[in-house]
Amino acid sequence: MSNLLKNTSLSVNTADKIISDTLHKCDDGELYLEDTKFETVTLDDNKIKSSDYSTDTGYGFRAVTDDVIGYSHSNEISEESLKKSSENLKSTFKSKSGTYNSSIKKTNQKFYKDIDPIETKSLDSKIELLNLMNDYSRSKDASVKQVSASFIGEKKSIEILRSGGELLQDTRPLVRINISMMVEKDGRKETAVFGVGGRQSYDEYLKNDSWKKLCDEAFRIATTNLKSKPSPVGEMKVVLGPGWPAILIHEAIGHGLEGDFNRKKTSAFHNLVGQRVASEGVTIIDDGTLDNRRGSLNIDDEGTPTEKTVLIENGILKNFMQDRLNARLMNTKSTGNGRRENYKHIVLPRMRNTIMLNGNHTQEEMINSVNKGIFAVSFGGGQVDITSGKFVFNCTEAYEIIDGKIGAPLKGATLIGDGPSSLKEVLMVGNDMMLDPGIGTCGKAGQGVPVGVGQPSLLIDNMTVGGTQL
Amino acid sequence: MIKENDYLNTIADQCLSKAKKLGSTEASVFVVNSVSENVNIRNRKLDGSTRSENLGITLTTYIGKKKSSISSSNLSEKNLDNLINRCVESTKITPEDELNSLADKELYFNGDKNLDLYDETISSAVSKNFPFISIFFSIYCDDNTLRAKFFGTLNNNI
Repeated sequence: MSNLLKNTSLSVNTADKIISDTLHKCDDGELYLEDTKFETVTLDDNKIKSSDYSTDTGYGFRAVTDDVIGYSHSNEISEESLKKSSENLKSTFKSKSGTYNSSIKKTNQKFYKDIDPIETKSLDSKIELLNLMNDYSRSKDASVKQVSASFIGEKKSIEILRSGGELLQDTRPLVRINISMMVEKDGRKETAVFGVGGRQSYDEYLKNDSWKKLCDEAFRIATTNLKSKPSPVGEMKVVLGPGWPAILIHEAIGHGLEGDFNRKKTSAFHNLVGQRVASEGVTIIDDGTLDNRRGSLNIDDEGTPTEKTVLIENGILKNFMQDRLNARLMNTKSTGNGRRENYKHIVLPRMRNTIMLNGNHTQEEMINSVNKGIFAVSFGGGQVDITSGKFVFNCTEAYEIIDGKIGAPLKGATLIGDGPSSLKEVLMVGNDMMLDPGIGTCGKAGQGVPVGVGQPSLLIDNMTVGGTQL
Repeated sequence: MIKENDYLNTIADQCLSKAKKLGSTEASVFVVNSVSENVNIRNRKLDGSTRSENLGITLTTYIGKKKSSISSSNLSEKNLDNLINRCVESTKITPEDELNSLADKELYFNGDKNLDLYDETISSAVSKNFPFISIFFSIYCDDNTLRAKFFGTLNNNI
């Protein structure tokens, strides 16, 4: 039974009729309904700066035949609007015809609870906690000059109505707690950001005063950077810390394994399935089934159940990440990676939680083996050119390694390379796999979706470090 | 579907008067409605088409120097009532900030200068019950005109 049509003038029967009438000669398509609530509460400069609340409801009507996509969206869910959309789609596909494949495998899998994280914590208590975080952070040290903190919560309900009356539903909670800090000592300023989040209530992240740990961590990174020196430049060995540094895998390898770039043969990996693309011991998966993780989904935005997709197994390329359109055109199955930012956007193959699995080395072993190199613990942003896999990342926390020992913190280190080559330069894979704290949003074609990453410590043989040391 | 200006006007007025009734001292509302169509052709083949309809409202309420805002795409009366309530309630518990306020009355454009900026297809109005202001946008693009325009552009490329 559709919940999202309940309070609209559009009846399920009418919707079904319009959907079937529009899509019966197409290869694929659906009516995607969405209802989202979103709240942000922000503290900045000792004050609650803003508390914003918004709701958004709408539909996206999609028709697909061959590689042609017709899309029509509106936030007015009515018969009139849907008919107008239908006309548009029909005229797009006037001279085309396909075979509608209506079967979507169903499971009862659930990786997060059906809760409303905005309502489960009162605005009062959010404001109180932000003030506590502010006071606690400022009381840590006189060097703390500025603190901002925020709560960001969302509840998104989606429904997918397919031709023939099939209905798929999902309710997705998502929260994020963030703190950023500016410290100043002897005329030098440094900033740090730390956050946590995922698909459960705020309180799960705040138990036992664990919000203090967020402040402590932001403070630790900022004060570490107060002592940082310019980063060296050149090719050297790089040890990556566990967890968040896996955005390097996300950017440098993950995007290149998305179905659309491989169908269009624009990815560096398109003709390499079954071949060695990484050092032995490197296994990378994309997993939508981890409990309460930011990138997890019960079903993707086309209704396909998510799964654990093996991308690279022991160095050999196994699979790409697929939505239904690219899977059909490549004669394979969707891996449940079809995602969209919201009802205003078309579906694209996107990552969920992209993770490199454990090897058997320790981080200590890696650091001990390096004569001159850097130890990168955390990254800010990164970018990649999908066609070549070339990437650049800036480190927000990094240290020099000299003669097998961790030395001074470094400022302004950037890592430069290309995905396919760096994968082959992996010398050691650690045994300390960690997932990121739940803060990542991936952007592609103007659409942002929440994702997760994870990896153990890694030793990479030869990477270009762009430094600040002249 | 594209809405009449009167409809958007009414929604904006209703929001302002409700916010005022619930105790806000100032408020601003922004109602937007737009429709756009887009057709892509690649290698002389149809690549896809997109039609976008957007309807949305943003309301900011002030109580003295306290401020909060909401936005939504659902303009049903029930939903708006709910949201306005929420907005005013959260305004009440938000701390004051001396910089929070609408612009001073004298600073608003009052139409004295002719800047030749009037566009027939866009209309705007300022509500009389100041300090509550309202702004509406309604952009109407006739489907056929738009199609002609897009194909016109495409023809130049082929």
